[in-house]
Amino acid sequence: MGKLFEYRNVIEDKVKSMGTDAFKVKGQIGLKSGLVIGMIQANTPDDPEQVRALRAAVKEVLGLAD
Amino acid sequence: MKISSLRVKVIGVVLICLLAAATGILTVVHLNFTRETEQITRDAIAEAQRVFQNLEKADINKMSAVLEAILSNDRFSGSYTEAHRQALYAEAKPLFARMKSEYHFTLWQFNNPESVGTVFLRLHHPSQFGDPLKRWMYDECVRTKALVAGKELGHSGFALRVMMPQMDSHGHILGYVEVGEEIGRFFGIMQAQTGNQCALALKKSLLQRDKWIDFRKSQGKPDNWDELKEIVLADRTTENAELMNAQIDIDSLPNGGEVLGRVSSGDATYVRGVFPVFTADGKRSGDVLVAKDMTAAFAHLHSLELKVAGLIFGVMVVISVVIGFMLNSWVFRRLDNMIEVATCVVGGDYEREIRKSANDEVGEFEYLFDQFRKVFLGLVKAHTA
Repeated sequence: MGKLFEYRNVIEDKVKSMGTDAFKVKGQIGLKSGLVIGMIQANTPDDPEQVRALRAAVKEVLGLAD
Repeated sequence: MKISSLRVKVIGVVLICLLAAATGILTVVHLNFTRETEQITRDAIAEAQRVFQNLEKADINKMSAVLEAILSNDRFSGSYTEAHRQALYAEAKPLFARMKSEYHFTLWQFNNPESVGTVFLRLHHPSQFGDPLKRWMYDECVRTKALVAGKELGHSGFALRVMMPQMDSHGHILGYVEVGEEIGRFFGIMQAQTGNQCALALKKSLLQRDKWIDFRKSQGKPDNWDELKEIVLADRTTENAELMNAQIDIDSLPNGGEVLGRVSSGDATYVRGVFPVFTADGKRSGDVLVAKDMTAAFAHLHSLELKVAGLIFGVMVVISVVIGFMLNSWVFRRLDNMIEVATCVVGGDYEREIRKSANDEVGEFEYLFDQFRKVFLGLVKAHTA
């Protein structure tokens, strides 16, 4: 399981617990990072640039640190 | 709302345009009023000048008629001899008293012929005679042997005089007779006719300081010699010094007068103008300052400017609200909707559609954006299959 998929799971869990519009939050993260969260699979290879972008987007939208 | 937002930019541009328009309108109102004020001042100068000249003409006519009557009366004729002076004085004194009290004459003078060239008798100063006549009017009357009239500048200010030769029955010149009056009373009449304040100033270079101060003392008036640099005020309709005092360069004044601008005195606002006064020999010797009370007009302008500013502010608010509302419903709300749909689609809500909401430029973009969503959706499906 790669880093990108780990982030996807973190995002899904957080969005569920927030009870807000899940699509909108995931869309905001996706648009900021340049990734479609729903398309990240367990076997999706980690591109360091994409990981960095996703981490930054998660931090900005969800306020989660590493 | 971010400062870089299109909404802020558009509303900002609209407000700047409206502010520029407001400034332009207020400037035009102000310039128009300034121009109007200048014209009113020019009219006031022209009116004062006309009244002044009319008074001068009327009084010259009056004095000419009186002088003709005097010269046709044998009682005031005879040889210009020492023995005749006292008899002439006794004969003329009662008439001169009436001329002074009823018709504003201040001067009646018999001058010797040019062969002698001195004053023979002054009815207004009987003890002073025999002094040489070095005046333009006397020289002109000697030269033309006809009536000469006009203003002369004496120690106490301008006097309007008329002089004619006195001849015997054979047409020989006996002497020259003149009558005159001070012009100070003109300004009271001018004020009554025009409603404007007036002041007469004289060139200091044509006066003698000591004699001027003595004259002022004899009139019970304070010494005002040093109030102004080049000129001294002789007559004025108001004692308001800040209104009437103005340093004028008489030599550079246009013949038709000049606008001096606005001056405030207490709660009142005046516009002032000035025109030159010439002596009989054509020299610029003084000026008449005219002050017109424009307090009501300036108060009206201030009120008008406030109303215009208030109206423009109101219009700015209404226009901003209307433009903001129109832009919001025609552009921004639809863009916001597209952004939200795009965000949700990227977030996994593939069923959210963007509907073309109007047949305009944004509607075209909505249509294209939904087509793009469908392409995106196809790619996602292909990737996840």
